[in-house]
Amino acid sequence: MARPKTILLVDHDNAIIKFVTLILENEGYRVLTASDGEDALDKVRQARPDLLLLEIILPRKNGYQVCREVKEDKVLRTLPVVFLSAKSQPSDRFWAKRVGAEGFVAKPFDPGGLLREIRVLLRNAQLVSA
Amino acid sequence: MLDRAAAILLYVCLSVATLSIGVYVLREWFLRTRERRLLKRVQHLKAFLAELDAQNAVAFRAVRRRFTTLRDLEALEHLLEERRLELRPESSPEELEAHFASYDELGILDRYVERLLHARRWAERAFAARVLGEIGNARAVEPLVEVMRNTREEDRDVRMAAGRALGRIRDPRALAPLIEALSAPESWLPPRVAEVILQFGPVACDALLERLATRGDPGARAWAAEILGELKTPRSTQALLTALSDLQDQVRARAAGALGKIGDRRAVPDLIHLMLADPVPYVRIQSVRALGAIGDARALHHLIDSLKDGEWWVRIRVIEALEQLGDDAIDPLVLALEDPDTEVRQRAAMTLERLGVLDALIERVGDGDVAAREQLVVAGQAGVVEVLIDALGHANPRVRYAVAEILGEVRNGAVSVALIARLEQEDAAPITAELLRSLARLREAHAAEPISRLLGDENDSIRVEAVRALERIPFPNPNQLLANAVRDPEARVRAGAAAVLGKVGDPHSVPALLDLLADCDASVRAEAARALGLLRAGESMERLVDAFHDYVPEVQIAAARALGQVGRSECLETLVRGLENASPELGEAIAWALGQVQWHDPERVIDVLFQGADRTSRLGALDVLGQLGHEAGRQLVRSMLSDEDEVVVCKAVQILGQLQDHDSVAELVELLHSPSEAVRVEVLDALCAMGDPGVVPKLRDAVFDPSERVRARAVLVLGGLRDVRSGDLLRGVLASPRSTEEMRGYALLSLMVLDRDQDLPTILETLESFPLYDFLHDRHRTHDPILHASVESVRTQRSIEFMVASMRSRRELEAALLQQLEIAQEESLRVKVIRTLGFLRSESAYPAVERTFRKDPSAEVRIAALQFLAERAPREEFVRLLLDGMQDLQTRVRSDAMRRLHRIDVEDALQVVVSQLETEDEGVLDALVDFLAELKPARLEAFLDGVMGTELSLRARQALVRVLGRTRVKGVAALLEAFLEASEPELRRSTTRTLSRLPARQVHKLLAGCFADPDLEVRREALDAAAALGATGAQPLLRTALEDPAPELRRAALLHLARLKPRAARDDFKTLTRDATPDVRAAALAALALEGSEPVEEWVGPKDVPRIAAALREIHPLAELERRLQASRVVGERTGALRALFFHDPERRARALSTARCDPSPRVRAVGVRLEEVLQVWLLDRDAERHLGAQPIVAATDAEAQQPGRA
Repeated sequence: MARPKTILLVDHDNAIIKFVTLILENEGYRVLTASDGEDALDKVRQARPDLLLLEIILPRKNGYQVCREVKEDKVLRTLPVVFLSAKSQPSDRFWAKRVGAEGFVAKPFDPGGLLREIRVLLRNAQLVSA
Repeated sequence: MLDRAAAILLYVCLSVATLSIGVYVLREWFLRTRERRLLKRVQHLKAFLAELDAQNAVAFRAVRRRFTTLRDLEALEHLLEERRLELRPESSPEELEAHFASYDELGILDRYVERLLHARRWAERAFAARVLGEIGNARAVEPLVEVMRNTREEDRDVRMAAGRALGRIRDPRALAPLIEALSAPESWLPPRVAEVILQFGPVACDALLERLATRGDPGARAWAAEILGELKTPRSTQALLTALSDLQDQVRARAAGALGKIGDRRAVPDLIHLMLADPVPYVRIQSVRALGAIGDARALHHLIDSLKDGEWWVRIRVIEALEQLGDDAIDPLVLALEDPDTEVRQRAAMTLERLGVLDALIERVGDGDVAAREQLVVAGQAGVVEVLIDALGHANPRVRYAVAEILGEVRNGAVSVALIARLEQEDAAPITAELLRSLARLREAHAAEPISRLLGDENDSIRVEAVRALERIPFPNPNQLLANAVRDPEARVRAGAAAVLGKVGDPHSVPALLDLLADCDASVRAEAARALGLLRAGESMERLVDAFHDYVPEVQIAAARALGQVGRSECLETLVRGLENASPELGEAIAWALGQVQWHDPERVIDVLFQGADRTSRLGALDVLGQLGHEAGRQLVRSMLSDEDEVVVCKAVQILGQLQDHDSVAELVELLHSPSEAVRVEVLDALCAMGDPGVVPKLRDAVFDPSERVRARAVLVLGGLRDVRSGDLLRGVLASPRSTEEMRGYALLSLMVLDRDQDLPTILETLESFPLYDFLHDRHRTHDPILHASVESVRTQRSIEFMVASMRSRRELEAALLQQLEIAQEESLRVKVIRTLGFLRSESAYPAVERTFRKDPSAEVRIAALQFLAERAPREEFVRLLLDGMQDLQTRVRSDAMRRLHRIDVEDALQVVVSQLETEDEGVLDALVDFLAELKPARLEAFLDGVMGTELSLRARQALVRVLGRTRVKGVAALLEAFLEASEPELRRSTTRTLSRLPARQVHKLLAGCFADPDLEVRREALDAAAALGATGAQPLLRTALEDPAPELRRAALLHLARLKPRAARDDFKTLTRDATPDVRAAALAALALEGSEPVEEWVGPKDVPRIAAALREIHPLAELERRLQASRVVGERTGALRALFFHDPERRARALSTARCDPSPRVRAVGVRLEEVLQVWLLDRDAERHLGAQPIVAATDAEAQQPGRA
C-alpha cells in the first residue's frame, strides 16, 4: 500500500486549519500543521512533506519568505508550494509566482478546486522525482 | 363768644383723649387676646409633639393637616429645632434619625419641597433649599436635583443653596446631577459645585472617574480631575494618567495637578514627558508643580532640562520645584542665575538664599573663591541683597572685604545705604578703602557727605580713597568739602582733590587749582592742569602755557590738553612749536589740542602746521588733520601718501582709514604694491577699517604677497571684514605648507569669525595640532584693534571652536561641551556642540547625546544627535534609535532616519518601512526611494518578500507603487503590471501614473493594457503617460485612445496627436470630424487645421470657430503658431499655422492674413486668399460678432439703407 502523501498546512487561523485538515484527511492525505513561518520551515526540514500549503500573512516570517527559503534550498526546492490566501490580488499572485510557488488558491475557496490543484502538483512532483 | 370757643376746645380735647384711651385699650385687648391665642397654639403644638413622642400615629395624621400656614410650620420647626439642640450633645444616631424623621412625618418636609419648587420669590425657594439641607432627608434629594438641573433657574443662590443642601444630605443619588453641574456654562457655578462634591468624600470617586473618562465637555472633565486630586484617592491615578494624554489642555493641566496632590510616584515618567513635550505652557507648569510636589529624584535631571523652556513663567515654576528637591538642585539653580529673564534670576537667587547656599558662598568668598564671588554678584544683581548686607558685619575681615567689593557691583538702594552705614562703623582701613571704592562705583550721591568726612582721617590711604571716590560721585559745593584736601600733606590727596574740582566743574575752584599748578609734586600739577582744562578756564591760559614748558612730561602733556580744552587761538603758536621733536605722547596731545582750538581759517591752520619740516611735526600735523576732517585737510593727507618718509606715509594711510575716506581707496589699493612692507600692512588695516567690499579681491591677492607679515595681515583682515567668500581661501591657507604660523593662526581665527558650518571639521582638525589659545594669548597684549575685534567676536558668539582652542585638557573640554549642550539656547550652537563631540570621538558624551536625541525640541539638533549616535551605537541599539527616529514628529528627522536604514538588516528595516508607507510623507518616501535604490538585488527581493507578505492598506500599496516606480530597480515593471490588475481603481490609477517614470520600452505594453481599463481615470492617466513618451512612442497608443468610449479622452488623444504627429494621424482626424460629440469634432477640425493640408474653413461655419479656437489653444500656444507662420521653412507648417491663426481672435487673424499675403510660397498665399474670401462670407452672418469677434457686414449695410435719401 502506497504511503499516504503528507501535506504541511501553514496558517495562523485555527478555524482554517481545522477546516482544510478535514478536507485533506478525508481525501486520504496526512496533514501536518504549523502556525507561523519559522515553525513551518522547521517542520519542512524535519518532516519533509510532499506538498506545502501556505498562507501569505503569517507571524515570524510570512509565506513569501518561507517559500523563497524553501526554493533556495538545494534539498527542498523540489517541494511543491501552493499558496492558500485571502490576499489574492494580482500583485500577490505575481509575487507568489516570483518566489517560486507552483500554485495559488484564493480564499474563500472551492474545496474541489483545491484538491484538484493538489492532485495535479503531487502527480507532477512524482513524475519529476521518478 | 370766648366761652363758646373754650367749650368747643375743651370738648375737642376730651374727645381726642377719650378716643386715644379707647384705641389704647382696644389695642391692648387685641394684643393680649392674640398672645393668648398664640400661647394656646404653642401649647397645642407642644401637646401635638408630645403625642408624636407617644407614637400616636393616628392622632398625628389627623392633626397634621391642621397646619396650613407657614407660621405654623415655622413655629413647629422652631420647636423641633429647640428639641434638636437639646438632643445633640449626648444623643445617639437613632435618636437623631428619629428626630429628623419627624420632619417628614409632620409634613414639614413636603411643605418645604413645595416651597422649593413653586414659591414665587427666590428668597423663599433658597430658604426652602437651605432648610431641606439641614433636615437632611433623602426624600428631598429629587426635588433639589431638579432645581440644580433646571437650566432656567436664573437665581444662582437658589441653585447654590440646592447644591449645598445636596452636599449636606450626601445622598449618592445627588452626585450625578452635581457632576453634571460641573458642565454649567456659568463660570461661578462649577467651583462651588466642586466644593459640594468634595464633601461627599471618597464616595464621589467612582462618579468622578466615570466623568473623567467620558468624552464631552472638557470643563467638566477638568473639574473632575481637580476634585479627584483634592480627594487624594490613589485609585484615581490610572485614570488621571490617561487624562494626561487628553486633547484638551485644561484637562491635561488639571490631571497633572491632581497627580501632584495624590503624590503617586507612578505618575513621574508621564509627568516628565508632559513637562518636556506639551505645547501649552500652562500644562507644563502644572506638570512641573506636580513633580515638585511628588519630589521624586528621577525628575531632577528633566527639571534641569526645563530650565531651557522658552517661557519665563515655566522656568520660574521649575525653580520652585527644584527647591523642593533640595541639595541636588543647587547647581542648576546656580545656572539659573544667568537666565536671560530678570524675574527668573531673582527667583533663583531667592531660592538659593532659602536653601542656605548664599551663606555657604559667603564663607567661601572670604577664602578668595572666585566662582563663589561671581555667583554672589549675580545673586545680588538678581535682587538678593539682604544676606550680603548682613555679611558686611561678618566677624571675618576677609569676608567683609570681599562682600564690600561685591556690593560695589550691585545697584540697589539698600546697598548704598548699607555701605554708607558700614563706613562709619568699620575699623579696618583696607575694608574702609574697599567700601569707598564700592561707593565710588555705585556713584551714590548721598555718599558724598560721609565720604568727605573721611578726608580728615588720619590714615593716608583712606584719605586718598575718599578723594578718589569723590571724583566719581557727583556733589555740589566741592570747594567747601575739599578746602582742606587741597592742602593735604599727602600728594595723592591733593592730586585727587584737583581731579574732583575739575570733574565738578565749579568755576570758583580756579584759584585753588592755580595754586596747585605750582605744587611741588608733578602729579598734583598735572592733575591741576587737567582740572583747569575741564573747567575751560580761560584765565588760566598763561599759567597753562607755563605748565606746558614744565620739565616733567606728564605735566606738559596735561597742560597741552588743557590748552586745547581752553581752546583759545593765542596758544596756537606755542602748541605748534611744541610739536618740534616732541615725544610721540606729547605730539599726540599737542595734535589733539590743536584740533580743539577754535580755528577761524582752516587753510591758515595748514600753513602753520606745515611750517615744521621734521618728521614729528608732519606726524603731528597729520594727527590734527585727521581730527579736523576738513576736506582741504583730507586732500593734504592724501598728498602725503607719496611722502618720501615711510613713517609719514604710514601715518597718512592710518589717518585716511580713521577718516573712512573712501575717495582715497584707489590710491590706497595702489599702495598695496608699495615697496615698503610697513606701508602695505598699514594699507591693509586702513582698508579693513573702511570696510569697502569692493576691495576684497585686492585683499585676497595680498594673501600671496612676498612678505610674510603682509600675507599674515591680509589673512587677519579678511576675517575682520567677515568676508564669507574668502572662507575657502582661508582653508587653503591652513592647508598650505607654505603658510607661516602667523598665517595659520590668523586663518584659523578668521574662519571662526566667519562661522561657516562646513569649516568646522577643518578647524577642529587644525586645533588638534595648532595651539591657538597660546598663539592669541601672546598677541593679545599688543594694541591690535583688528585682532582684538576678531577675538572678541568669537568670544561673544560663544564659538565652540574657540572653546576647543582654549581648553587645556580633553576632559575639561568634554565637560564644557556637555554643559553647553545642556544650557545653550541657540539651536545652531547645540548642533555644533554635537558635531564637535563627534569629531572628538567622545564616547563619554553618548548618554547625553542620546538624551538630546530624545528630548531636544529642535529637529536639526535631533538629526545631528542621530548622526553622532549612528556612528557609535551597537547594532541593537542602532535599530532602536532608527525606529525611534522614524516615529519622530518632524519629517526631516524621519527622513534622516530612513536614510540610514541601509545599515540594518532587512528584517529590522521592514517593520519600520511598512509603518511609514501609511504616512504619505513625501520626505520619507524620498528617503525610502534612496534606500531601495541602494539595495543589492538579493536584498531587495528579500525586502519585497517582507513588504508584499504584509497586509497593506490601499494607501500603503499606493505609496509602495509610487516608490517602486521611482526606484527603477530591475524587474519592477513586472510587479507594477501586476498592480495594474488590482481590483481597486485607485491603485490602478496610482500605478498608471507611476508608469510615466519608467523607460518607454517597458511601459508601452503596460499602457496599452491600461487603455482597456474600465475606469475612466485610469485611462486618462494612461493617456497622459503615453503623451509623455514622445511622438513615435506615443502615436500607436494615442490612436488607440481615439476609439475610447469617453468623449473627453478622445478629445484629449486628438489634441496630443495634433501636437506630436499631426500628419500621421490625418485620416484619424478626418474620421473624428464626424464624431457624435461637438467638442471632439471641434478638436478634430482644429487638428486638421493645424495639420494644414485640408481646407477646414470650407467645412465649418462661424459658430464652430470658438470651439475650434479653444482646441487650438490647447495644442500650441499662440506665440508658437505665429512663430511658425513667420519663420518655419516647411510650407505645410506655415499653412497649418495660418489656418490655425485664422480661427483665433480678429487681431491675430488679420495679422496672419496680412503675413500670408507676403509669404514667398504661392500655396500659402493662395490659402490666405481663400481664407479671406471665406471670412467675407462669414461676416455676412448676423452673429458674426459673437462668434468671430468681428463686426458683421450685414449690420453696416442695413444701417446705410436706413438713412433718408439713400436708395
